[in-house]
Amino acid sequence: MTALGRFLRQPLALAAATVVVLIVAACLLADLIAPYDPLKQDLMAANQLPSAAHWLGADSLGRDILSRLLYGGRVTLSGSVLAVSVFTVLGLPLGLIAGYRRGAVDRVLGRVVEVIFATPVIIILLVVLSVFSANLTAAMITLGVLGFGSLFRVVRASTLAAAGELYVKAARAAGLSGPAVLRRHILPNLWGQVIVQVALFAASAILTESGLAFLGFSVKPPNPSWGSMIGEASNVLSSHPFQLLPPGFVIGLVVLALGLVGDGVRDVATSRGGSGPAPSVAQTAAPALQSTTASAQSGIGGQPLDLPDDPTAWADDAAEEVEVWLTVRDLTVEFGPAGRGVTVLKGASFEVRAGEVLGIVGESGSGKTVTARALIDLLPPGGRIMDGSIDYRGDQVRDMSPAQLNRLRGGQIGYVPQEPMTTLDPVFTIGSQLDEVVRRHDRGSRAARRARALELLELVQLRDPASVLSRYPHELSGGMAQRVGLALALAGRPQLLIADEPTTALDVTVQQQVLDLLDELRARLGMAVLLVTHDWGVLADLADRALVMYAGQIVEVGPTTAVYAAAAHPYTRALIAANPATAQAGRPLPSIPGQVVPPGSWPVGCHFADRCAEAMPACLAGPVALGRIGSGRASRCLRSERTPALVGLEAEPVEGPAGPSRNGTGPARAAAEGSK
Amino acid sequence: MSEPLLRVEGLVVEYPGGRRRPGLRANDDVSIEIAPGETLGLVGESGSGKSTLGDAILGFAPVTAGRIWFKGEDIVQADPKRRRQLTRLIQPIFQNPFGSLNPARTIGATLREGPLAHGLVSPGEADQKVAQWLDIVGLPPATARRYPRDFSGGQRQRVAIARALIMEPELVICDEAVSALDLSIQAQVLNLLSDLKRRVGLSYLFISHDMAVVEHMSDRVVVLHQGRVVEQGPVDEVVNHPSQPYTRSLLSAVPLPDPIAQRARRAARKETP
Repeated sequence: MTALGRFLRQPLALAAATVVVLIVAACLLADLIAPYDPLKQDLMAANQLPSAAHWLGADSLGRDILSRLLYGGRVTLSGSVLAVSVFTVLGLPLGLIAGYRRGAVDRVLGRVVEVIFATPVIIILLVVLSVFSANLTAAMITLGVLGFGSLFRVVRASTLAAAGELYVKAARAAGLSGPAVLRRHILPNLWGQVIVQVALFAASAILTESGLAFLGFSVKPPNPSWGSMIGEASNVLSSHPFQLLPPGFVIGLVVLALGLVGDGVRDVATSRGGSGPAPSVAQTAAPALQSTTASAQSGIGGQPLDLPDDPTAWADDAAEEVEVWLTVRDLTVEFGPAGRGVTVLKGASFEVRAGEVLGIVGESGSGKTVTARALIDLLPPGGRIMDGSIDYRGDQVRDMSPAQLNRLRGGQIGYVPQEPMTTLDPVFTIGSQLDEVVRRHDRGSRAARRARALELLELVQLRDPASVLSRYPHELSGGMAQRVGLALALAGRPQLLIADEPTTALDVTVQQQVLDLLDELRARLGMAVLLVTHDWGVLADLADRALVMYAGQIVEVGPTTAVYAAAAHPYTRALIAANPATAQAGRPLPSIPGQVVPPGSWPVGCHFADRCAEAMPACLAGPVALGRIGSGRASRCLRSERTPALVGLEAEPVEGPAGPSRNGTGPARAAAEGSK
Repeated sequence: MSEPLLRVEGLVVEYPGGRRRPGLRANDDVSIEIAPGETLGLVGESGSGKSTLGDAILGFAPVTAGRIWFKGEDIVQADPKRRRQLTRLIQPIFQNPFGSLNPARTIGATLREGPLAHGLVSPGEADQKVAQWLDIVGLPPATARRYPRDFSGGQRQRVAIARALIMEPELVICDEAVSALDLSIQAQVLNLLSDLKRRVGLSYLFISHDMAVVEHMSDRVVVLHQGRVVEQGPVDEVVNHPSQPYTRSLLSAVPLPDPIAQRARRAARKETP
C-alpha cells in the first residue's frame, strides 16, 4: 500500500485534512460564495446574532461575519503559506547539506541556527513591522527565517542517520553524484518528517498572524483578517461576546486540524515497513515472518495436519537409566494476531537429560530460538504457545502463575541471551545490575551480596572482578559482557542453562574462551545446557546430543558424533556438506537449492521435500513422522526409516500415542517401498 | 608476476579523535597486492582494520599516509571526478543484505542507477541489462519491479551481487559478503561468486572473519591484527603452516564441525596451557 493510502485509512487524520482543504477552498472561493461584501456596513444589522440573513451574525458595524471570515482567511492563510514557504526553502536544503556534507558546513550552519533560536521572535517581528509600516508580507518572511531552525535540525538529523545506511554507501560506490544520492536515497526517507514540521509551523504561523493582527499590525482596518476580527470582537466583548466565537473557532479548528494531519503523517512515516534496518525482534524471533505475511494470509486455508512426534522414537535402548530434567511434548508456537496467527513451531517433542548439553541446530526460520524461549515463557511480543506441555522435573511450566514462572526463570533455569551487551542497562554499573539479581536469590547483608557477586564474576573467570563491579556496560568488551551475562544467569544457581547463540556475536578467539568456560562450568556445577546455535563447530565442541531443526520441525535427533558421522536426514547431510570447513578446495560447495519454506506456506508433506535431492512422491503426500532409526536416534524422513536399525524395530508392536501416526504413514511407507 | 591490479603501499588510516578521546589508527602500514584474476582473502577479528582497508580502497576512509595504486594509477591522489569514474571498476558487496538495498526503491531502480550514472547503457537499454543480470544471479525477471522487503536474505545478497557486477568492475570488494547468510544459502552465494569470477575474469578482495570461507574462496590470504599485516601468503601455506603465533591461535580457535576432531583439539589445548 502506498504511503498516501495508509494516510487515508486513518479516520481522524483524514477528517482533519478534509477540514483544512474545505476551509482553504472556501476562502479561495470567497468571491463566489460569500453572501455579502465584507466591507459593506449595514448599521441596522449591527451586533446581530446569527440569523437567516447573517448566518454567523454581524459585527458592531453591521458587516457580515461569515463573509469577513471567508475574506479574512485569505490574508491569514496566505501569510501562513508565505512563512511556510520561506521555512521550507531554507530548512530543507540547508538541513540536507549540513547532514550530508557534515564538517565545517555543518558546524557553521549549526551555529547560525543556534543564534536564531536565541532570538526573541516577537520583538524582531515588531521591529520589522515598525520599519516596514505594518507590512504583513515582511513579517511573515521574517517569521519563516526565524523559524526554519526547527526544520533544519530535524532534516539534518534524519539525513545524518540516512547517510549512514549501507544502501547510501552502496549508491556512492556506484558512482552517483552527491545531489543524486540526496534526491534518490535520502530525500524519500524524509518526506514524512518534513510534512509534520510544515504542518506544525503552518499552525504556529496562523497563530502568530492572529496575534499580530490583534495588536493591529496586520491589514489596514476595514479589511478583515482572522486576527483583526478577534481584535475587533474583543472591543465589544462585554456587550456582545458571541462575536469572538466565529474567528476564534476557525483559528482553533485549523490549528488543531493541522496538528492532527501532522500526527497522521508521522504515524504513516514511522510505521513504514522497510524504512531503516529490519526490526531486530523480527529478525531474531520470527525471521521469515515479515517477508511472508502476504503469502501467509493468502496461503493455504488451514495448517497442515502434522503428526505429533512419537517420544519413543529417539529413546535410548537403555533409556530407563537416564534421568530426564525437562520434557517437552508437542510444543506448538504461533505468531501474529489471534485467529490469523502463523505457526512457526509445530509439535516439537524432546527431553533434556541430567547434566547433558543438548544442542539445537538449525538455520534462521527453523524455530530453534522460538523453541528455547517458549520453554521459559519468554517469547517475543506476538508469540504464544498454542499447544503442548513443558515439564520441568515434575512441574508443568505452562500451568505456572507469573510469580512461579519468575522464580523458575533465573532460578532453576538460567537464560543467556545472544547479545548480552544489549540486555545490560547502560546507565547502571555491572555491580548494581548483578546485585539486583543476587538479591532475588540470596537475602543477606550488603557485604554478603557483594561477596556473592564477586564469587559469580570469579566463576565466569573475569579478571579483577572488583573493578568489573564498578564498571558500566560500555566499558566492557564483547567477551567480558558475555561473561557478565553468564554470571547473571548463574546467580540463581540454575540446574538448566538455556544459552541462545551465546557466541554468535563474538570473535573466534573470544568464542573459544566462552565455549571453554561453558564447558568447564557445566562440569563443575553439574548443570544441563540447552545450547541453541547455527554453527556446527559450536555444536561439535559442546553438545552431547544434537537436535536438528528445519522449518519449524525437529528433523533429526541423536548423539552429536553419530549425527555428524552418519546423518540420517537429507537436510542434515546437505547442511554438513555445505560447510566450507569440510569442502574440497577448488570444487563448488554442495549447496542446497532453493530456500527455507517460510512459516505459513509449509506443505502438507515433508517440509524439506522441495529442496531435497532424494524426494519422492510419497514425501509430498502427507505428514512425515519422526521415526526411530536406532538407539537414541530418530529422523523425520521416509527414506531413513528404511535403514536396517528400523527393520528390527518394525517387528515390535509400537502402541500408545504412536499408534495413529504409524497408521498415518502406512500408505506413504508402502508407496516408498513400491517406488524402490 | 605481471603488473598487479591493485597495490596498497604503506597504508595508514587514522580516524580523528574528539576532544577527549584519542584518534584511532585503524590501518597501520598495510601493504598488499592483488593480481588480475586473483582472490585475496583478508582475515582478522573485529577491530583488526579489515573493513577499513576495503573502505580505503573504495574511497570511504580517510587515508593519512601511503598509496593505493589501481592499474598503475594512484587513486588516493585522484580528484573527485576521476574517483567517481573509478567506482565503476572497483565495486563493493556489503555484509548486511537488509541494509544495503534502499527499501523505498524497486530492485530494478537500484540496479539501473549505477550503469546509467556511468553511461554504460542508455536509458532504453537499462531494463534489458537489468534483466540479463538478474538472470545471471538466478533471479526471475519480475524481481526488477518488486521491493527489497519481498525477498529473503539470500535473494537480496544476489541482488547486491548483481548491483556490483552490472558495472562490469575489475575488482570486487566482498566485505563479509556471506556472513549474514545461513549455511545452505551461503554455499549457493559462494558458488555464484566463484562462478562469476570464472566467467567474467574478476579479482576479489574477500574480507571475512570466517577462516573456512576465506580458505575456500582465496588464492592468497592476508592476516590482519590491530591494523597491521601479521602474515600473508598462499592460502594453503598460511592455513597449514602458519608462521605467526597469532595466525595459529586464530586458526585453532575456529571450532571444527566434526565432534571427534574438535574434542581432540580441545583436549590437546587443555594439556598445553
